[in-house]
Amino acid sequence: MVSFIHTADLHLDSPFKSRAKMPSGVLEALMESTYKSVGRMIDFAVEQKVDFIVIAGDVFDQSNRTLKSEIFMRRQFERLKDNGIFAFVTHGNHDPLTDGFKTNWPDNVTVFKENVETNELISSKGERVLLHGFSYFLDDSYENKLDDYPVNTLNDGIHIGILHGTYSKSTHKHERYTEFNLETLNEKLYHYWALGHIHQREQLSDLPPINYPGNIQGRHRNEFGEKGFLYVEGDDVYLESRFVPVHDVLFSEYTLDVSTLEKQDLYQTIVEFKHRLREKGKQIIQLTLYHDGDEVISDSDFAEVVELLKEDEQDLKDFVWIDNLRLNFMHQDQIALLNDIKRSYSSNDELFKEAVNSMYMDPKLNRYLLPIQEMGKEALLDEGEERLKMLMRK
Amino acid sequence: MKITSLNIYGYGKITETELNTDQDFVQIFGENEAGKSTMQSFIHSILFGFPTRKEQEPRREPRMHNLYGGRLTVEFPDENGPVEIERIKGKVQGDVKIYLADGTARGEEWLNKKLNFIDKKTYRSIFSFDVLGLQDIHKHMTEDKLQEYLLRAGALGSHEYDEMLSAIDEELKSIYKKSGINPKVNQELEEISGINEKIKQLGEYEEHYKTLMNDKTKTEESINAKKDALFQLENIRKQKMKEVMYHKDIKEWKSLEDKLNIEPVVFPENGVERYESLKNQLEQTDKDIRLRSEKLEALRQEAASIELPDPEQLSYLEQIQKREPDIKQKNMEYTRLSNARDHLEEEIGQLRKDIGWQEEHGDVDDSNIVKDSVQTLLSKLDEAVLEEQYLIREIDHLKSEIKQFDQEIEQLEKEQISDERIKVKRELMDRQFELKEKEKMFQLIEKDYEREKRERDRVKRGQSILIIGISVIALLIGVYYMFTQNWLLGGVFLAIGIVTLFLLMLTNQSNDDSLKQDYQKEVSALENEIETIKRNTDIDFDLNEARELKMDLKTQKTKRISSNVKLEEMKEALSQKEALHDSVNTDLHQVKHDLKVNPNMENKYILDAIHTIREIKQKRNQVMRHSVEMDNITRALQNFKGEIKNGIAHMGIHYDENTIFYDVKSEISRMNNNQSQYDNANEQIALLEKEINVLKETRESSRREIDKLFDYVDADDEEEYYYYARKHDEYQSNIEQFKELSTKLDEEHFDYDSRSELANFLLADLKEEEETITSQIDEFNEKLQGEQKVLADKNAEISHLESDGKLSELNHQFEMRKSYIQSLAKEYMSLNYIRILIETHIKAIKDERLPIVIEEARSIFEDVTKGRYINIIYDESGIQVRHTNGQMFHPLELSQSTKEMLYISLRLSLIKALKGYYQLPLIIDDAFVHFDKERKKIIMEYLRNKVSDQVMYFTCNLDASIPTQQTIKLKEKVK
Repeated sequence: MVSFIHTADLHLDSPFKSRAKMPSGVLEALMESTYKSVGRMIDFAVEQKVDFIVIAGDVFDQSNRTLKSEIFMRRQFERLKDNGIFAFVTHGNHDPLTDGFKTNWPDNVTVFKENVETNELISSKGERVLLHGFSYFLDDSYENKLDDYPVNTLNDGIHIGILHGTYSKSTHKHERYTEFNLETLNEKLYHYWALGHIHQREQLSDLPPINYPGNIQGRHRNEFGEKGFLYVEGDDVYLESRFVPVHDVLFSEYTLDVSTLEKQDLYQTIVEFKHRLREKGKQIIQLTLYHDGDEVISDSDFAEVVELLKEDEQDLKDFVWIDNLRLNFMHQDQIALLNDIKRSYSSNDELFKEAVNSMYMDPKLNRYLLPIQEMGKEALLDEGEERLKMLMRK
Repeated sequence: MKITSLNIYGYGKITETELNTDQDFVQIFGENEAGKSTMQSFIHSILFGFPTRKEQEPRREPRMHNLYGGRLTVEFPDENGPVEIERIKGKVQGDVKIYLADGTARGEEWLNKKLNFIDKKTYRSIFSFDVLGLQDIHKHMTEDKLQEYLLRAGALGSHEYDEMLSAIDEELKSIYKKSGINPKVNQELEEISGINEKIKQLGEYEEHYKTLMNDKTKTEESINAKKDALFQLENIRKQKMKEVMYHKDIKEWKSLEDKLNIEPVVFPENGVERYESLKNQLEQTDKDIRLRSEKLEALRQEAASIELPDPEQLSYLEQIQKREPDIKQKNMEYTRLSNARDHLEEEIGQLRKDIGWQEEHGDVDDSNIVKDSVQTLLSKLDEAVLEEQYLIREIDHLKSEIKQFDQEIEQLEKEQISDERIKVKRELMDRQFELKEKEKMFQLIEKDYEREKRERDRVKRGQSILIIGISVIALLIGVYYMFTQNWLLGGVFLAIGIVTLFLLMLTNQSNDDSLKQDYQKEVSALENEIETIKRNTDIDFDLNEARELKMDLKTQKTKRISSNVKLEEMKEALSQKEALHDSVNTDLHQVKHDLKVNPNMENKYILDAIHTIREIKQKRNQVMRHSVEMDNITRALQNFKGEIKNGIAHMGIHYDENTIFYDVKSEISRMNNNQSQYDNANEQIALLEKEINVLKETRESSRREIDKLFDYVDADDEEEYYYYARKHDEYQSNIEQFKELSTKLDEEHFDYDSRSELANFLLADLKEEEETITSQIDEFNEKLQGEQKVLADKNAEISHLESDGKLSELNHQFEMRKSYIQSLAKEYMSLNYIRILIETHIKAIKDERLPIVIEEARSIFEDVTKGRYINIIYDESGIQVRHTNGQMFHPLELSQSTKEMLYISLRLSLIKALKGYYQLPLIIDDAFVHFDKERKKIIMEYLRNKVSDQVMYFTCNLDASIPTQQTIKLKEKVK
């Protein structure tokens, strides 16, 4: 019986992406959230007396790779060392080997080098565990390294493959580093594949278990739901994995039907709704309101409600921060004029470029914007229409 | 779309009214207050909803009753059959239901789609004409308005582009300006660049961490080196202190070493003790010799006083003593023998009584010959008796057996069966067997016969069918010929038919089963015979049993004859045996007489009597032997007594038969005692003499030992010897002290060289050295403290860096602001995109659609003004028209009716241009009041002929030129 923790994409101290400015309390909670989640994971490891932990890349985040995070990690590793637990770490595209370290890990930590290598360990019950993996040397894709993983021909001991990469059939559009398919992994005849890179938890295969544990703490609204790590337990026949949530701040999406749009009533309804959510701990939510009636609310009144809601969360420990509040009308039609316009001109890329370039041509500004190719025409049009509707609602 | 009828349930003052408007052009005439405006409003309401509070229009709910709304029947070009649109009171805009010709129902959405999402306001401003609208054409029909109407085509809602654009512009300005300061994005940019600056600084500062770590390591190494040196100095100082401490000992050690550097002093081991003990021993020995000499003298006197016995007398007495057991044995033997003789005599008397002897007869013959003959006689007698008994028993047995045979024979003779009956029975059995055989045969024959018969029947049936067929045909032919008057052939054929039928009947009759019947007869005859026999004779028995009974009778008779013969034989044997028995008895009687025993004694005890006689004879012999032995013993005892009586008399001992042996024994012991006392004294004397000699030898050897000790140290007397002893002690103690010091110094790691060397130093020098070292240590300690302080500072800086989360926090802020900027930027860009789209759209309409509309309006205008105005132009100052003479006019400069014409032209051309989007009925509300007859005619004709949509013309001046079927008069109906 061997037991270990499979985690990936810790993205320690990774900055959060939010639409609006946040009060310092919320901001601090967010800043501490990745640390807290990792701390909880280490608590779990010590408590369950696991044999080792596997981190399949992206321990750090390139946009905030500070000394603080490294020192924190060193302390966590030292805690593991005090309890006789080993750690096996690979580096991913967000923290490649070339980024360099300012500090040194304790000797219970094994960091895989840029070439595929095998490390061996004997578990507390005396089983032989072999871990195969490699680290990213640069922020680059390494499909060619897949062939270097040795095939388990002798079938002695428990073989675990560690890989930071993208499943070829997944739908993620960006950062498709080191694409692989299941056949390649199955050919290696390992007992477990500890994957990393994709932040959404997913089991690609049950036999052998090939798992993405997802990241340990959501960082923006698209990484919603419970986050944590996988606790794996078993022997050379089967390794059973169980998800253990340790997130500190939960990202989620909700919808709410509102019967009235009167300023005070609307505010009260949302406050009550938030109150119901509060027991789940710290949350950052996307809230879409649906109104089935013919009432309207002016832009300024709506803005006032949003402002009031934000002020409520100022100093709360278990805050429910509404990152984005949208109001949809079930019965009010779209601005029909725009339908005609959209029909006639939305295929014209020149117009889109003109609209986008108004900002991308500003050298002071464009460095802070998303890559221009990530700007979707449809999304922009939809948002514009909604904004316009908001503006026209007097 | 065409409205074919109106059905008003209740709208304003109109109630339950139905109008048929199934015409392309409908004139609705009514005087003032007849309800023309209400009716127009009704049409609008049904199509687009009842007026809401926002609209500047009364809701026209009936006051007298509750029915609000009504129904329009319309025709759509793309729908089969009329469609009914009903709207009644419900929600604010009323509840709509659409009923299609096929009976299905639809909702409001369907209607909206059908009307292409046009709203009430747009519909009014395009499709409704009224006097007021015509008044200010220059205001209502500006290019912008025209554009707006065109733009509005295909869209719904009533927002206007200007409104949108201005709102967007305002919003955009508040978000971002390329070189602005106040807009949100610009402010954020300012702040984010500030943060960026700080991040750079902090980043550099954190890079400093590596250098710090290096410095820290170096300092730590240097501190460690110093600590090592310090440790060594400390060790040296300790060594010096030790040297100072042991300096005195070392000096002493050195002086002792010098003292001991001479030849060692010799003296015998334990010399003094040994000498003194020898001296004591010598004195003791002298004393012992003296004591022993005195004792010897005393013993010699004692030995001389003891008397010695005569050895001859002693040996004679000892001989007498030796014969004591023999005499005692002989006395006991005599007593035993006289007892045995008495016992035997008694036994002989008892045995004599047993056999009935009055006196002993020693001459009786008791040899084995007599005994054997008696034994033979006895066995013969027994045998004869046994045989007699056996024969008697056998004879009895045979007699009873013969009797039983007789009974059995009698019984069997009764049971016998007569031979005649047996014969009859045998005959019957033969018959029965024959019957069984015949029946079996009969069954076999019957089976064969049945099979054969079936076969035959089948063949016969075929034959008969054939024959019947032939005969029928022949008969038919015959009948035919008879009808045809051909009598001859008819007769022939009829005859053939009849003959064949007759033949068929014959063959069928000849069939019978004669064989079967024969057999049956035979069987039944046999059965009868058997029955008869059974009835006549009693044959109810088994043949075998009868046979067996006969056989039994025969055997029993034979057995009886043989038993009779046996009986006779046995009787003969019995008489022989009785004769033998009598002779044996006589012989035995003779024997008894010979033995002189009682003749009445039973024969079987004769043998025992012989044994008893033998025993008596034996015992008598033994008694004789015992008497001889007793005589011998008495003689021997008499001899012994005479022998010793004389021997002991001169020794002073009186002879007595009973005490002689005790007296002899006491005399012997007294003599022996004297002899042993004398021997003992002699032995002690010899021992003492030996001891005295040994003691003398010891004294000599002690003297020699003492001389040897003195010789060892070369001493002449006791004084000198003791002097040497003292010298030796002193030397030994010095050596001890030296050894002790050596061990102590060895243990403190002072080796020989360092000891000798240190012994040469002065204590003051050593102390000085120690002080120098101490001062050096102090110096090192000071330096170490300094470096440790530096290290602590570095560590503080490092831990400050490690615990400082400022950079991380700034990075967070940076990303946060960045994403905020991104979201603002997205908002900006999206609105900007919409703005660009709208502007492009407007431009396109201006450039593409508007000229067509104006051209169309121009042609209509030219048409309706009969060519007086040839052009309509929109320019900066607004709309203008060109007269045929080339002059340009502003609408205000035109006559009222021309102006209205222009307006109508523009509207009609607009309707035409929008035909692709909307096909709705035109509603004209008395718009032509300013027209003269001529113009009115022109416009009416145009409306009636050139306009493809339905036109509803509401007027209070009835136009008589319009046919009555196209005219509806409201007047009477409303009142």
